[in-house]
Amino acid sequence: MIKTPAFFIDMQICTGCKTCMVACKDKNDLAQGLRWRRVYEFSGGDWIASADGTFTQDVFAYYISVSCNHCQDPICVESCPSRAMHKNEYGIVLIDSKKCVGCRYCEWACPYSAPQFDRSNGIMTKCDFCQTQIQEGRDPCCVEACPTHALSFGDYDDLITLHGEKALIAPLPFPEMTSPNLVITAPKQARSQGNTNGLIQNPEEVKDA
Amino acid sequence: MHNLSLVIFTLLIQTSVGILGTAIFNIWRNKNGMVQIPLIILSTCLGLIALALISAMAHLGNPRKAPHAILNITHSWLSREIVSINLFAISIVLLWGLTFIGFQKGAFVFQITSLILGILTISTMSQVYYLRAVPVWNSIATPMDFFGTALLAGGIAWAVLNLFISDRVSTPGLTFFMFPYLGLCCKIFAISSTISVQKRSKNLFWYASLRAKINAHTSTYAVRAGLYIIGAALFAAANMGMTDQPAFFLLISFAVICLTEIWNRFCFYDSFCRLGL
Repeated sequence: MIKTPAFFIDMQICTGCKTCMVACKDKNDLAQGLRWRRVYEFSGGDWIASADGTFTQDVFAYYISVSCNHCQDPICVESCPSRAMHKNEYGIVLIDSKKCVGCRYCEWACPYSAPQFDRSNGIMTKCDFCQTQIQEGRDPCCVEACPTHALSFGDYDDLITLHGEKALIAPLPFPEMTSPNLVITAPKQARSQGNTNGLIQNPEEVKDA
Repeated sequence: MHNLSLVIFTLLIQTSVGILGTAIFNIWRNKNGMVQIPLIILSTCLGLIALALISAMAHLGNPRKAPHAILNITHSWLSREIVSINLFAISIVLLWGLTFIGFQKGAFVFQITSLILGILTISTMSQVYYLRAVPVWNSIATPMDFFGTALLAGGIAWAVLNLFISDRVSTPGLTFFMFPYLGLCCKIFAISSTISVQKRSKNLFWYASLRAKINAHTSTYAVRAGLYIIGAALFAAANMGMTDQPAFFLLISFAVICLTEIWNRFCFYDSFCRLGL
């Protein structure tokens, strides 16, 4: 097993096909409304008036695929009252379904919407990094399914060495909140955090049901 | 109505702490040597706490596992809140039992202990909402709102109970005015503080969920503050001899405050507007 498992997203080649999202849902047999991996469509921009009376545009659009980032400082683990949310010896944040009381406090606390409530069983669920597949030497199902190889995974430090510092782009939350194990190659038109020109365009697709 | 159970739970616990606090303060100021809280007041507190706990259980996806929820007391404020609420409930049961058997010696110690546990409960309850990802909750507005409910709704609820005990609206006194009006100040502060946090954080909300349309609620803050003031004014009118129907004014004041509290608390949960995805 790798030391600090992390996802890497090359947003320059991500086409937003959502195969990763569907693969995750299919492999984990997720109920309606549960999406451990979500692809956010983020876009914005407007016409800008120039001094000479002409207009230019700064329209942008890009996709970002996000699941649990198995953070170094997981706020869900800290906040969980029953210790159901925990980090295992391989650095994967997991939920002990026997302990989870379904209070949904982790859902409030996590800025990535990673823990999701399974209404039929009354407990929280989340990405487990396909740990059984990883132990078999395979990639997580979302990584396996990605047709453009935009999504991959590996050791966080290795990914940082390979792809550089983590990108601080919208609409991701500030990494200081949880220290996520997420490495991104940002698209050229990516907007920095705090930018107010963009909106998530597919809320029905990515928010809880 | 997703947050109904939490609205009921928080309001009832805070109101019961307020009733207890007002009752103890009234005993402390009482010149006729009464040392015990009337049983009807303690029974009301117990009833409110019981309803609150039932409501809290209804919020859980898996209530049978509820005992697990205290396991992370070293890190989780939610665990601490659950422990403190249960301690508060136990202390009220003990106080009720002691009052029922007519135990008077040292009654004040038990009363103060219960009140301290009640204040601790509201404090831990406030801390639960201090989430870095939710700026509107992660501010001084949250404890001010919660303590404001205890003082305002609890204070007026105590006056209503006192109406039933003594069959008349009590004469003006510091107790009547101190708790509800301190609560009103807390509420007005909480409302203005929330607006301030929203204004400061405006550029951070743009990617928050659609369900939390906080700007839609901004216009309602003034209305809520106005209703609190109207409720408090009716309460003052009932207690200052400004009307020949003080009981009616007191009950109307209680109704206005209760309805405003429920609306305000629903708005509190609706203002969940997270930084992030």
